[in-house]
Amino acid sequence: MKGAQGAQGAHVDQFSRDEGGRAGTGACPYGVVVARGGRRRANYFARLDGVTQSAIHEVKNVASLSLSQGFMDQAYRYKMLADSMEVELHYWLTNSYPARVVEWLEQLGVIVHTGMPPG
Amino acid sequence: MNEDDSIGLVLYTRMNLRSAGLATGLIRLFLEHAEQFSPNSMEMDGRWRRIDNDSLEEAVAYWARSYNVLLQRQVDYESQLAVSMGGMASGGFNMVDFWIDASFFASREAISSYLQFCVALHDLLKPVYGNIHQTGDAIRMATVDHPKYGPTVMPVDLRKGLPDIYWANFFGPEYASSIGLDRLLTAPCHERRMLEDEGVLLVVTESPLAIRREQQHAVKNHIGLSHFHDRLNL
Repeated sequence: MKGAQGAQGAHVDQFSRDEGGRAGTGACPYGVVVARGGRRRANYFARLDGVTQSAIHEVKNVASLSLSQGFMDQAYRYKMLADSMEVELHYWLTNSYPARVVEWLEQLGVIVHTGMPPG
Repeated sequence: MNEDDSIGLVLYTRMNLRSAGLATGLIRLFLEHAEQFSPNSMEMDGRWRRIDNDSLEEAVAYWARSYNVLLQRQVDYESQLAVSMGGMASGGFNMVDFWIDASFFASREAISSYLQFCVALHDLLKPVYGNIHQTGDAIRMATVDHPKYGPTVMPVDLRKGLPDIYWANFFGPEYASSIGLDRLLTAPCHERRMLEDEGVLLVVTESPLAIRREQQHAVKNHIGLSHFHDRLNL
């Protein structure tokens, strides 16, 4: 078996309802809409640091980053969004990158950068 | 403690980890069979709450309405348990991560009891795939110097193949079948064990702290490179 298939379907709509709005700090001007199962749904929660044709980029410039439920929930929502859009999710850990945070993101399926983003 | 030095377990499963019964079973397994390193508090709404048999019901109720939960222990042996339940990990799985301070693995008895506990965890969660590794080393194994982005840790994607060979490796029944039991059970490893679900556990060396890259490569070559995702090849 080259590739294993997981339990698809997830809880996309649940996430969208749960989160509601989130005030942006340096909010991304992109309107993000997830298309799933033939339905299009706006994601009001997304405050993304960058969206390109092929990827979502999230920058974490935090001095003492650590794994927390809030961090995991946010990464999960962004992963759900990226998977729904069929784009990559990149996390930029620019100030601190504790091993467990890096590893948890890697295992979740997130591309993790430990340098500064270009530009 | 230095997180790089911790020993990490990851299990990918299709089981519904939000089920109250499974959450109860998982917490009880830690509390009752891993006394030396079991997490003893759980983050609930941003606060750390002690978990024991008296508070189990409250912890399980919180767990069952969450998508991610985090539990920890801050005294010897320090540990952390992260459970991700939305079916979003590595191509659509639920994921259980458990880290423990490497200082726990100082004796054969400790390593043996830890492995026994991990097999019990495996039997409860029936993972498709899992592994146990030294955290810093596993990150180095997944890191490339990306020409555009610099140092980059490439993600696990089980849809594309297995990530690598680590100290201990849990192959679920689907992988055991596609790789072949004969091949897995003849791998050049310290320990090869059939599991309850017809999967296989391969433990490359006696201690997770004394594994060499050439030993990992030998096992990987024996299994067949076609089963692995060459994620460092940009």
